[in-house]
Amino acid sequence: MANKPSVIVCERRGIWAAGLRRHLPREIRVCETRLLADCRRELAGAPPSLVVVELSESNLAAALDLVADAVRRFPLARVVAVAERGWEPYEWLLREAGAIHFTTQPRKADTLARLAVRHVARVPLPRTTLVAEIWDSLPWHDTAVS
Amino acid sequence: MSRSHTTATDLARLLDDGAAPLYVLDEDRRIIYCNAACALWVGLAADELVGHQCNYHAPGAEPGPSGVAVGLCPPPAVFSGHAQMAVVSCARPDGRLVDRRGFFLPLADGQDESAPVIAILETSDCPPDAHPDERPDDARLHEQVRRFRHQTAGRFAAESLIGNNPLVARARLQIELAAGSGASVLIVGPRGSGKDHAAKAIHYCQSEPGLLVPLDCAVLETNVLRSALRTLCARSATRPPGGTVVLEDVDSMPGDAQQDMAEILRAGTLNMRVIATSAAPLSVLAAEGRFLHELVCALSTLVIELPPLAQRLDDLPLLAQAILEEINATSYRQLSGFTPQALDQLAAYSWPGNIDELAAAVRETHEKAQGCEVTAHDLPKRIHWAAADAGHPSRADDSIVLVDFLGRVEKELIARAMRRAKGNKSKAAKLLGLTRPRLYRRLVQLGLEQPDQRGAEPKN
Repeated sequence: MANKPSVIVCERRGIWAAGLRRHLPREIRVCETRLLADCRRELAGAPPSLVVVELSESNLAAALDLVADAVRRFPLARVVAVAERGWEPYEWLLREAGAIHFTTQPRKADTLARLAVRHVARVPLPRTTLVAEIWDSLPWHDTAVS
Repeated sequence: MSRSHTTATDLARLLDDGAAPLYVLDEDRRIIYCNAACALWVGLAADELVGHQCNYHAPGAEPGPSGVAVGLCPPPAVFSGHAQMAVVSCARPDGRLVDRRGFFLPLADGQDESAPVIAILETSDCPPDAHPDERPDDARLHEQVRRFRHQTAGRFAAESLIGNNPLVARARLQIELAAGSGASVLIVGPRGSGKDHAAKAIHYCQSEPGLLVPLDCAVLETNVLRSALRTLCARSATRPPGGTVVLEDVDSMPGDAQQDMAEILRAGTLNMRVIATSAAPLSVLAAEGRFLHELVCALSTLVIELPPLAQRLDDLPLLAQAILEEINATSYRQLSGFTPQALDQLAAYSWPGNIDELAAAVRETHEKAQGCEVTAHDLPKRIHWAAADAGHPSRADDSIVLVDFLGRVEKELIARAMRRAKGNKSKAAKLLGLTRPRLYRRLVQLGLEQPDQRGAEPKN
């Protein structure tokens, strides 16, 4: 299902995504991006996702925009901001923009993973019929005939 | 006397003729002089600006000379006698913030508690995408906060809670009332009904909003929540009162965190306003033993109730149109509105996710719509199904004939597997966990392939 929540990670080196994959159950898809534009595109495809965005010297203003925009445009989405050590002063600004959590410690990816699991569990499923639910549960959506 | 007067007048004329914006702040951080170039840059007469105090904080889009003065405030270190370069900002009439780099010279050596300051700005604005390369520092952070609040404040006015329904009109009045007081506020409503928006509206409608810290009590674990509360209290100890903590979905707050929060509020260690949102009235939860009575009292000075969307369907066309236009504002594709049939289908849906779900549906529709108006056909499938359900006895449509349905599912899966395998039967059979001959038989039986005239497929 295109609207199924996933964890979308936008970072430079893949450290956070790797940490999350280690701790997340297989049912929760981790989508890794390097650019904020790609991150936005992924979020538009799965609006109830948890977004993990890494703050860096080059993307500060754009990352802040993404946090505020994601929360505003996709009310079911949640955003977590991550960064290297030294960016702690930005925690409150990012929280004000809409980030629900801020961390600078990749080794605490388990905390992030549990947060993601709780988020995914809370995403309401759209009200639908039994027939539609069965149909939606079939695999290989990209080659659907009906 | 006359000679010194003449010198001062000459100096003032000289400064007034200068191309660089220049202003002077006294030891109380009040603007006591601003030259013509400075007045031109900020778009005010010099007389309007003189007398206003420059405090180093980041308000919302504060209008008028006091808001301009805030933007001109240099970093606090300057008043302690440390000359430095810094960036100040000013809002243009179109609401855009522009920056200018300036040199700030204190007129004392730092021995005094506060020194008068002369500020000389560059003659042109910083480029809009200029980002200094250095690691975060206070000045850069301050500028980010100011810029963010300037952009955000306008979105959360009380009027942004759209609707003519009496319950919503009442909530709007309560928000304005809450913004004018410092009382704790509890906002009760089902998920997606706009509780977080209402909390932000209260915060940003205050005259000095300060920091906003939302804490999602439903998603954050107990230890993360407690850690955030401890950090906030530690921060409060070194700062003047101000700002707002929003406890989102406080009804999901774990017991340990409830104890911590009650203790914090009792001890007064958090000098920020507290707004809480909840899906259920906290008094009911307390009566069931699921919430601390003490915390209910502390959080519920003013209670604002937001109705579910299903109870205010009269507002649905207005809300849908407002959401559509908000999407138009940031999209190349422009849609004018909804056809009456589309609105009828929207009204037939039960909206368990309330306004948030409506916003998601309108966004999905905006991307799919073919014409310049949203038709019933453009709406998401689940809205169609709901409209179809509404026209039939309850759940009658949900019954199936098992054999037929399984046949349809099998046919669909085989067709998908064949497409996925690009027509290669061996690969498709592997995907489906079948032997190749069996797949071939089913393809023929289900009418997906004509039988081989030569009977070439092996029997199995």
